[in-house]
Amino acid sequence: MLRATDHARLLLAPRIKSGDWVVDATVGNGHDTLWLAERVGAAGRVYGFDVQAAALETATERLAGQPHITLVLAGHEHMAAELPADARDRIVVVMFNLGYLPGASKAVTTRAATTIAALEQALGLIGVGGMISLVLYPGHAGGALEAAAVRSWMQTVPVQFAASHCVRMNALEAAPELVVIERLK
Amino acid sequence: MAPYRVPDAALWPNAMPETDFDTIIVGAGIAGASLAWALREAGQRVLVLDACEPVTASRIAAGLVTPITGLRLTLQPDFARCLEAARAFYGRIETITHARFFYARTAVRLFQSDRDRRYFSERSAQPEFRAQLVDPQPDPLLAPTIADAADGGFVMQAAQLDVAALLAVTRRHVPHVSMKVDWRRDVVFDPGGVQVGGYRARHVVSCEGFAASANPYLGALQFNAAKGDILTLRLERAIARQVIHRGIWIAPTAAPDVVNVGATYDLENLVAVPSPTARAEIESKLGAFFRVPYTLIDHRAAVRPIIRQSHPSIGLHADFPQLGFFNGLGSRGALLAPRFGGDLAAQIVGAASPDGQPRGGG
Repeated sequence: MLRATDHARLLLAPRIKSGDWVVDATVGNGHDTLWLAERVGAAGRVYGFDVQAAALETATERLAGQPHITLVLAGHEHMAAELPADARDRIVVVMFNLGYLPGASKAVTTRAATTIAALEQALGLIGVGGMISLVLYPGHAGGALEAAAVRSWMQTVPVQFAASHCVRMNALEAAPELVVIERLK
Repeated sequence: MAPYRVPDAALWPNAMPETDFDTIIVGAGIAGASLAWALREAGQRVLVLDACEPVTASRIAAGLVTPITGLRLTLQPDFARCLEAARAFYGRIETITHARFFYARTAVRLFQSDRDRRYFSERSAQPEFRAQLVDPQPDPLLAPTIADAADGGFVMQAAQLDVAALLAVTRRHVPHVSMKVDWRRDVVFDPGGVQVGGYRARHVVSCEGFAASANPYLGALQFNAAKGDILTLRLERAIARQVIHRGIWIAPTAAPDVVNVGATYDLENLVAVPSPTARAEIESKLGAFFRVPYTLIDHRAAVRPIIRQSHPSIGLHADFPQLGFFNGLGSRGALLAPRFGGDLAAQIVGAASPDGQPRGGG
C-alpha cells in the first residue's frame, strides 16, 4: 500500500535538485533527513529541527559524515529565526512528519499551535515552485486535534499557494493524512 | 557531521500565541455547537471538549421550533425575532458546510378539551397570535392520520432543526476532543486565562446541560431537570411531514415513514434510562388520536436541564471572568440557541479584546 510518508516523497522528489536548500521540520530518527540529504547532495543544504535531544543523537549517528546537514535542537516553530537570513524564498522543500518519535515517549508530540506557527513560517520560506509536505496522524491522542487544526488552517492559506489534502477514504480507522502545499507564484 | 546545534532560546521571537485557543467549550450539545459557530464567525480559535456520550438530551431532541405551546396556548415571547435569528444562523452554517438541517414545517395543535378551544378563541383576538397561524385551517393532510378530526385544532408555521445533523457537521468543522472534564481536577484558572486538561485558552464555557449541576463553579445556578423518553416508530405508511401536538408531539425524521414521539417530563427519576412506564404513557396518549399502525423501533431517554422559572442561564462568572456558562435552554434549544449563543459570543469576544471591542473576522 502507498503509505502517506512514501506518497510525500513521490511528490517531493521531482522538485529537489542537487544543490537545493531544504528543511526537515521533524527530524525524529532522521529517515527523511537522510533522504533529503542524498537528494540535494554535498552542494545543497539540509536544516533539521527537533525538540528531543535523543532524536538528534540518533539522527546524528545515522547522518554521520554529511557536512551539509545542520541539525537544531528547537521546535519547528522557531524555524524562521534559526535559518540564515538568505534562506527566505530559497527553500525548495519543507517536510513535516507529525506525531511522536517512534520508539520514544508518546507524551512528547507535536502540538496544533506550534505546528500551525511552523507552517505559517514555512509559507514564507519556500520559493516559487517550492513544496511543503506534512503527514498527520489523527489516530493518536492529540493527533485528531492537530489534524483538525491543520485542516481548518489549510482553508486560510493565501491563493498564491495550492493547499491539497490526501487521505485514504476507505480506511477502517483514522488513517494518516498527507497535506501538500505548493507555492504557485 | 558536527553535533547538533543548541540555540539560545532567548533570541527567538515570540512565534507562538500565548494561548492555544481563544475559547474552550465544554459540551457539544446544541448550546455548545451554537456558541462554537458564533465564536468562529467572530474570528476566534475554538476547541470543543465533549464526553461523547451516545445518548444526550441534544442528540435525541426532536429540534422542534413551535410558536404556540403549553396548556394555555402561550405565544413564545419574542418568537418572530428569535426565529429570524435562528433561520439566518442555521442558514449560514448550511452554506459553509453544504449540509441541510433546518427545515420549515407546519405544526398542528389538536384540541383535547373545551378549555383548549376557549383559550384559542381568546388568544385569536391578538394579532401577534393570529400571525403565527397558516392556511388551510384545518389541514386536510391530517384527516387520514388522526381518529377524530372533529375535535378541531389549528395549524401554525413552525420549524424543525435536525440537531444530530447539526452536531455532526460541527464535529467536522470545529476541533473536537473527546474528554470528560472534571472541573476540580482538569481546570486551572490564572490571571491570563484558563487551562483545561492541558489546553490553554482565554475563556472556558460550560455548555454541559444537566451535567452542569455538578459543576463546582456553578453552584449558584438553581437547577431543575426532567427526564424525557422518546419513542421512534416505523409507520405502516408515510404521513405528511408535519409536527402534530396533542399532549405529546409527533415529529418527522429523515425517513418519511419514521417518526419520533415524545416526550415525557419526569421530574423524579433523573437517570437517563428508558422506562416502561414512560413508554406506556406515550403510547396511551398516542393511541387516543393517532390511527396509523406502527412498530416501535427505538426508545431512548435523556435528562434535560430546566433552570428556575424556565429562563436560560447565560453569561460570564462574577468571580472567574474566564468562565462562561450557557445552559437551561430546556425544550426550546433549537429556537433560542442561535440568539443567546450570539449574545454570549459577543460578550466573550468583547472581554477577550484589549479595547473591549469585538475583533473582526480572521
